Amino acid sequence: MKRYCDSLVIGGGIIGLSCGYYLSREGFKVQVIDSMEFGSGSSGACDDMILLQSKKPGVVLELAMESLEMYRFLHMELGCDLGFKQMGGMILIENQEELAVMEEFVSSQRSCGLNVDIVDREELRRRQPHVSDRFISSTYSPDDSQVDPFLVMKGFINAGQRLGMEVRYREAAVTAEKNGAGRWQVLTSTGCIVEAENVVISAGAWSNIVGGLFDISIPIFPRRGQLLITEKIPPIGETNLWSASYMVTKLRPDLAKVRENQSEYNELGLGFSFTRTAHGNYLIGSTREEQAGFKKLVDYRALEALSRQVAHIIPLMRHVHIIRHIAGFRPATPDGKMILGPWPGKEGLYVASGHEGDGIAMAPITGKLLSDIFTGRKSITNMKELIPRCMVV
Amino acid sequence: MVFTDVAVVGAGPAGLSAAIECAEAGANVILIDENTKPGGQLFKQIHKFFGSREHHAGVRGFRIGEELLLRARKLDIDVWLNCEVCGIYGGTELWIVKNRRESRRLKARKIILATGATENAVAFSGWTLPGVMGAGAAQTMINLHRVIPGNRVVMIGSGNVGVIVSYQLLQAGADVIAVVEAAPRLGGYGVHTAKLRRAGVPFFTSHTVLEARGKESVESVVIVRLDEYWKPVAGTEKELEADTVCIAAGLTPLIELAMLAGCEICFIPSLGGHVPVHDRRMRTSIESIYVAGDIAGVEEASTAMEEGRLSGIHASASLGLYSADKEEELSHQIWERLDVLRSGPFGEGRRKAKEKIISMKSMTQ
Repeated sequence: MKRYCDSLVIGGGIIGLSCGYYLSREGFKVQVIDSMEFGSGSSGACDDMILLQSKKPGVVLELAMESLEMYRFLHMELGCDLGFKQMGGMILIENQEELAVMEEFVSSQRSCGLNVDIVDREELRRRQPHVSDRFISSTYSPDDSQVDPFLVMKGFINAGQRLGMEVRYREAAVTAEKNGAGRWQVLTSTGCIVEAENVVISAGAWSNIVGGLFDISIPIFPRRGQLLITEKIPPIGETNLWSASYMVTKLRPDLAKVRENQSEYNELGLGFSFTRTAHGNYLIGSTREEQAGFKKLVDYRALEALSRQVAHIIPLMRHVHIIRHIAGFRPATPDGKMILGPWPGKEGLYVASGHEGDGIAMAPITGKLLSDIFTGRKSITNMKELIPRCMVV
Repeated sequence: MVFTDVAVVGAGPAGLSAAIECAEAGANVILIDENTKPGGQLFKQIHKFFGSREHHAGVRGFRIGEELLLRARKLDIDVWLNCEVCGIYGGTELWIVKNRRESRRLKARKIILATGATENAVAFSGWTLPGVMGAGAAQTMINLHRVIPGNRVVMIGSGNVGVIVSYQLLQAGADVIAVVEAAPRLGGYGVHTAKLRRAGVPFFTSHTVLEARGKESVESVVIVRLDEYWKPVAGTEKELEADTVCIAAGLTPLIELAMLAGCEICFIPSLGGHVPVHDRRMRTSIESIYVAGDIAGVEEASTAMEEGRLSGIHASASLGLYSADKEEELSHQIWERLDVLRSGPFGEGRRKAKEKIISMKSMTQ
């Protein structure tokens, strides 16, 4: 059997579906295929944040802010609830050293237009009565928000289907070649050949595997994260939370404090995030593991480290049950920026992937930018930092 | 951290049989169960089992349970009760929560998962009202706790669980006012179905429950006829006065631990859905992990016990406790009995489904 379309999107996670939807909106005939099930990749194993505070000033922060603006109205455009909530976010600061680093970081973010401040101990207590006394202050941004990734994906699918987009799960790309007319011929695992003018690779952590079918090497690798999910409890603070120690490690590795089991912490890449879902469960994150490959497994070491960490920061959590422990893969790039645009030297091949931990936040803007590139509204020269680039992994 | 040769998760018929085999072979065994008592579902089976004499034909389920417990006790098997296995790591490590508060870790050279299955639900309007429950739950109430769940019962499903529990509800003093079966034919063994027929219980084939009505709990149940495409036929609704709806709509293997361990999983609808791929030794795609009983495909207590023994024998042999010849001999005896249990109109389909799983395993090796 043979199917025809303008654009074939490979990867049906939140990024692929966003690309599919925005391309459909421009009138392109789009088909999305995914080798796995709905929500079985990173979009179904992440927290639900649109976190602006963690973004370094520059293109990533600017796009994240634009994406957040899109999210505010996306439910109207897609015609369904997306679980969008603006809870605000705080990054907890434990000592003077962290404070100095965060003050500098916050002021550079403010100069980019982000609404963020450092608040004192009293305000921290007022907004977060259950956070341990050892924290001396925190940042606060009212803009940090969250959505339900499953609802967003469903929203893109339903709205896209109304525009003629076709989505097929459990269909993998197997081989790819060009025919005489320069159109892609992609053979899939169901025995179908999909003929398409353009192919978009948005396979997240698996993008480089798909890239192999097109003889390209995409510098995206899986960075495993493990999360704990608690039982449903009433809200215990006003905003979602992160810890500065993780941000400081990222910004100023020389200041990273020496802890017990340092090597274990480094291997797990432990950082603290604490967010409440719309249903009342808390998501406690997370690890950043380089060595796990595609092993979608959890381990006891992470369970213990994540539990200890949350009990250290919010002692009340000692009394709350953990009901799940999950693992997923962030699609990471060597320079920490997503890859978006046409692949050099491969006409009709595009990559929209490599968002690491920002896929949920960046989904709308990614699809929108790709459709702008397709329609020529935006020249890729405006986004030099994101276009496919050769990097040493 | 506690160390042992074999950890068996689940102390139902499969797990108890597995643990007994391992202990008899000379292995150190720890048998873990989340309940306060071992035995799984055996102690609520007050009916006589089928099969040949080796399969305890004519013996009531709870007697078999007592016999297994006695053997386990004689072999001094360490049984950890009130222990939930919450994690499984690296194929050999278990994380256990005891009494919902105490964390324990256990490292075993071999792990046998015998976690059983869970009842399927059927969703209809009013299905969350008190009075709607699994047939197995009703059976636990009457036979273990000696509490009658209600007086007028509608049973959904005419398979063995549906008809056996219906009969036991009658024995317990309840009135079974209808057995509702969506298929055009009844599903259970003739002998159990006939008992209900003789007691005058009405059967409604090609029918389903449309709605359970009631304010605080079930007060009435609306059933409806289904056409040949299993769609409700308008105008055929009947409202029955009832306070209890029991759902006997099959079981689903409890495979969470196998998934957590990373075992390869396949989908076999006739065995209950997703099951871990395993070989003739009951070994999964992870060398140190075995499965037995309903987790490996929903069957019956008699097959679960044989599979438990099989997994125990092979796990023990892999620890060097049996020679290859002895392993083969013991395994052969069990397979002969399993083939008998999986024959006849009810067993044949299961035998073929099992063969399919085993052939998958040999393909992946």
